[in-house]
Amino acid sequence: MAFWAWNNSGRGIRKNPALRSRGGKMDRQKWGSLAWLIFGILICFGSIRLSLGDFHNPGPGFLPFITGGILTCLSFVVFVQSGRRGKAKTGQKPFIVDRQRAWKATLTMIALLAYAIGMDYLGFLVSTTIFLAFVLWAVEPQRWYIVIFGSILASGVSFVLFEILLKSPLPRGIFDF
Amino acid sequence: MDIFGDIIYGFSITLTFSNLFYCFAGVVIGTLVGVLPGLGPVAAMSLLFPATLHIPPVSAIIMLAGIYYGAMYGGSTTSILVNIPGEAASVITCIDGYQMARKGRAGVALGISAIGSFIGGTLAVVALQMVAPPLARIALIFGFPEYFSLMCCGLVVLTFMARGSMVKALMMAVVGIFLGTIGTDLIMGTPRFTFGIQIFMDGLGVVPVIMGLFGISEVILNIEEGVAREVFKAKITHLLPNLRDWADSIGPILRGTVIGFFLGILPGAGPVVSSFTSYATEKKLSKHPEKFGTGMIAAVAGPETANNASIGGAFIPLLTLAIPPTPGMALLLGCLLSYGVQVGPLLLKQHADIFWGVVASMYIGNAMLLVLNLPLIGLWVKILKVPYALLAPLILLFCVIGAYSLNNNTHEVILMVVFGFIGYLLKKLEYETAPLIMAMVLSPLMENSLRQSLLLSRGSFSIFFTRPLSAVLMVAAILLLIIPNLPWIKARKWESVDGELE
Repeated sequence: MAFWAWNNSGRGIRKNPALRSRGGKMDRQKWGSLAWLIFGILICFGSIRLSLGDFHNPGPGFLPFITGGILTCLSFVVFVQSGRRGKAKTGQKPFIVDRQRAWKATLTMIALLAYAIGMDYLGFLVSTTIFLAFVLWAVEPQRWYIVIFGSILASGVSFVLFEILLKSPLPRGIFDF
Repeated sequence: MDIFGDIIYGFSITLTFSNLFYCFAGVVIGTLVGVLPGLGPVAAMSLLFPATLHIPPVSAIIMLAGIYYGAMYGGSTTSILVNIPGEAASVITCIDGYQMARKGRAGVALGISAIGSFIGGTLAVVALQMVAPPLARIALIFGFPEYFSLMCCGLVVLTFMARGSMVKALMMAVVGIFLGTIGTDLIMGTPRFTFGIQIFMDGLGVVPVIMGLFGISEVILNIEEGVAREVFKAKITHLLPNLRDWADSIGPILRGTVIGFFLGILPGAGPVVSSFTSYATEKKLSKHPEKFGTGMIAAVAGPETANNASIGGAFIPLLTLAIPPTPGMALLLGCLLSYGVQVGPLLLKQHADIFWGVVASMYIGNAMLLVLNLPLIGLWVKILKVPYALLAPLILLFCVIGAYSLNNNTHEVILMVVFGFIGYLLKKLEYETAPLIMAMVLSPLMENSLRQSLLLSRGSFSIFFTRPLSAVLMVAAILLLIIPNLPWIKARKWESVDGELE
């Protein structure tokens, strides 16, 4: 199925720039619906393993199985529709508008994930200062003193506000602060 | 107790120092969120939810509701002065509001939107207190089959109202129902789709999912697309409309109240559809429709009133039937459930303090917002000048702290980040996230109603069609699924969309 989708939407697009954005859009929708289709099938398999029960006494997998089934059918409909619509619609916004800005968004996402994982080890103050400094430097590069003092000030103020004033415990990490 | 006695009881709850403080905090944060593009009211509510866990439920709901309707006031400021909507419900205000500002009438545009919001918001609360109690009494006759059919109908209406593809909206609703089933099965005690991860045992937390889908993904998208802002530089004076402005606005304000209130009740319509419908109505009724888009005051007054009135309407299905019509209301439902409050027709009897306290707080909150948005407009304009590059890291930081504070563990933060990435992809692929959230919140109630109904009927699905009320709701849901997909209706829909675009 995946090969079929790639082969049908991808062929010829590289040669014709006018078709490239239209084809890109079509690809995006098809790949998206394909991912949902696989997800729906996986839900169905997972539900069967949980036990479906019967109509008299539905089991724990009963509702998830129905949702998986409906999701599979609907994603197939979107898959077919995206093929048809792709031929009619043009001028859609591309998936990535500006590569540089998209890279900044990706960096922020990675930094956020690293921050979430590292918070337990480094503690709130250290990890927050590093994270804020990185985002201030990477997203829209600020002057060095804004990056350094801004990140220290923001993490300090939020620590005082949540940990001390609101008594909401924040992770302390290996440095114990 | 009669309705006046009830509302006096509500004021006795709200007019305490602590509840007034929470109401004030809610509307201030709401206005701030509305003013700043890039952070919506739902993300702000989910962000502050952990901070409300240590206060009484009535105070928490007063504050969270204040954020929600406060954002509707604040959104117009950005639309009028910057030509960028502060939140989705103020998109339509950009058209004529910004043109009014360019003609030197920014003050009047801001004034009429605040006054219209106040009138719409207050009249909707009056209607809420009149309509909700009798509706709650009717809802008492609902059994498991009726509840299941009602939730199915609600979700179908929600997907019907979706701005994009209905099939995609249905997919999101189905995914939401699935996500709601993750965790320990309440009847058998079997862990479902938990993969041995401890935090999944109690189910996926609604708050980190909302924060991810509405907060993180929005910030990431804004970073990618860039938020360029140029605040209107002229001094803002003459906030109060003159007699001519009043004559042009009073009709749109009253019509906007009615449109907003009734559309607010429908799942999925909410403030956004209300404001668009009000704009379309005013354009249709106007003697000079060709002047719309050039700075017509009616095009500001109507939509701004409608988006506020819709909040009052949206509380009706939430507080009487436990059906949240918007993501914001879904979050409020999630909050009420986490405080152990059983939402539904019995809420008025068992937790009258919450219902009447919230209703009374909305009167006070609307009055506070009028003061905040007229004399203090200069303050919000100053806040608007803070660059997004400085705001984005702070929004992310508050999201992280909010998610961590839920259970004091970083797994919730990781969950939020993952859903932030999923939300980003969904927006890029043009899938709406509102049906997912609402279905996820409704899923446990829906599953319980379905399984209990099947136990009652000994496995027969006909129970949903043999009980009159359930049958009506199910037939309505089926018709709503079929009608938009009929070829001639579909063709007409595309024609009208093309016409509007032209």
